[in-house]
Amino acid sequence: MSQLRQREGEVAGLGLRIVVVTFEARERAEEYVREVGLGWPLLIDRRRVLYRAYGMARGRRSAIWGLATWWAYARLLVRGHRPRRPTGDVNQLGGDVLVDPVGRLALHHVGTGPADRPAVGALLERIRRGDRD
Amino acid sequence: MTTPVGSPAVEFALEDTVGSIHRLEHYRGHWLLMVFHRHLG
Repeated sequence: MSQLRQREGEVAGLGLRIVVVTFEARERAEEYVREVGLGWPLLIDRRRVLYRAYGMARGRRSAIWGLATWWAYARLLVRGHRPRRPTGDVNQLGGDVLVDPVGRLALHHVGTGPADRPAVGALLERIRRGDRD
Repeated sequence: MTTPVGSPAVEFALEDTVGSIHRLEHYRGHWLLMVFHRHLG
């Protein structure tokens, strides 16, 4: 998500709307918005109905704590971010769903591990071209 | 499991942190990216 935030101008220029979805409690979600200065709506899906509808699974321990995860944490530390102890379900994986202007799926990416997200540049290029994949 | 590209997106009605309800239909006419977060750290 940090890559998307770095390209907010480009995102706005493409007319792309972004919402972030969390399964965590409202109090934690509100705190998170304040902490990171999130400029996009943070939608709360406590029962994970939408997570399940899009097949966002809970990961295996080996997928959660693999090399990619430690590498992502290392990059955060280098940038001066100190990860806090998670309060939510660390096994819940994330993902990304892109919907086109007529309400059809253009991209459906289910993360296989914490660091598995689609490349932002390719995603923005797809919108620019009006592609589905 | 992935939903086939080109399928209709799943309808939803979810509240955000300021109490507004967001529905899929609110985004018709725009590209919409839904980022499903892991735990919030």
